[in-house]
Amino acid sequence: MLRVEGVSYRIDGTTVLEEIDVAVESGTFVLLVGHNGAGKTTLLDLICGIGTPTTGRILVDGHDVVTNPGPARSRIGRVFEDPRDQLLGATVREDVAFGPENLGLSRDVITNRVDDALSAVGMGDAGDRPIDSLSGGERTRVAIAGALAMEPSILLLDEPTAGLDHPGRTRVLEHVRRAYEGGVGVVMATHDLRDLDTVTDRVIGLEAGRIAMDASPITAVDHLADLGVRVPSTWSP
Amino acid sequence: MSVAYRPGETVFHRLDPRTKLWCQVAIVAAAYAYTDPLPLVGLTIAVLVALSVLDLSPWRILATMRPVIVLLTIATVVAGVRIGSPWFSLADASETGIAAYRVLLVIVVGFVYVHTTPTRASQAALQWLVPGRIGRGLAVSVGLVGRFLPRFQTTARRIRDAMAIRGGDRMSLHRRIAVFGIVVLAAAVRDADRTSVAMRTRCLSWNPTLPSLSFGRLDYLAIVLGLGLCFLAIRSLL
Repeated sequence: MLRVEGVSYRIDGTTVLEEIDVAVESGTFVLLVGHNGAGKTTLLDLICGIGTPTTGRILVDGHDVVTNPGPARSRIGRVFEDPRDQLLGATVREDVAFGPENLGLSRDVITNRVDDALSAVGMGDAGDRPIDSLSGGERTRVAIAGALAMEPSILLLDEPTAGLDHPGRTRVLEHVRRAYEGGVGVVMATHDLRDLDTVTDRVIGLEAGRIAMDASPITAVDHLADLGVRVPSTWSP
Repeated sequence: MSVAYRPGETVFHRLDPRTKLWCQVAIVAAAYAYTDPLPLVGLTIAVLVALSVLDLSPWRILATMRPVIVLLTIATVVAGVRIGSPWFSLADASETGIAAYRVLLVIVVGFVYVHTTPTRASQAALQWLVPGRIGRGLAVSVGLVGRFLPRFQTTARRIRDAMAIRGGDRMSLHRRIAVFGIVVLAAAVRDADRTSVAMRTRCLSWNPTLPSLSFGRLDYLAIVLGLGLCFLAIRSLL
């Protein structure tokens, strides 16, 4: 479970986040929406311990991400907006194994986790492919596999479908949906709500660093336009 | 061409990373002990054979090493320049040229190592070689450099291409170098920061699970070859 308690974040005199209180249960799908600069990425960064909140605290399964970052981070899977920022291996398999290796697991367990994670994102036969030969959609899927291989209780995705074509987008969402159905909590920052109506449990809207809305998808519909999000005509949660 | 690991089934991929490190040391010793062109020709042939086994084009590798080649060429020319007549000493230039060529060979050997060895295997070899905290620190550093360099290389290539597309090739060489240098430096800092953030987010550990290392028959053969090279290098110095 993720708990964000009274978190504010100021940098260089600018308030980026103000008094954020959020609790996300494992197995919940939460959309994080808001204008550019609303603080979505900063909030996701703080949740995985990149930066320290000015006030408040963040707990992941009871572990404080600032004072106890190791156990907290091992329960979080993070996918950056540009997956190139997080891919660290020369090959797909090497990259997906990076996190589990850092957890000090046995080689057999690592191999199983990597195989399962790659199969989960439909890249089971791409283990030996060099990272720099992958397309944008494939990179995102490898980044998701790298996060899933950590067997996280919560998956944080920052605009995972940005810049992808329709088939790439559909595939990425399908794999995220599968992770969610497998019991992983998902927090996805996005502007693009297409195909997310059937999975979303909750929508949190950020505006100028504050929570402007925290509602069910049905209730959220009327407020989304104010938060810079276009509601697709097919949106029917 | 990326200076990064590529999986494969070649002889070099099958060698234990410790053997490869030892062979590198032996090759470096031999390259520095023998200053005559003939032994260097032998070493060049060995390197070319290695590249052909790995199916790597020497020309593409040289293209990747362009900045280094430019620097070494400048060093060679500068070494030959004299103040006063004769203005250029061919003997001095060729001496530096041979030294520069040896540096180039050693870098290509390093390239072969990186191309055939996963970063984690290098970390395991280092931790075996230097036990304890120092070894772990070295291994983490190697991991960082091994993951940062290919990323930085890609960024530098993208910046170069972006400059060319926007008419950068019409700028004077001096201006081009200055602009490229500033942008690349900023990108290097940004890439280093991103690599560090990614490693932290993905639970960077001082004590990760490393691949198990074992010597095979091929390794013993390579170790003996390395010993032979070292012996020849030491003999030539005495």
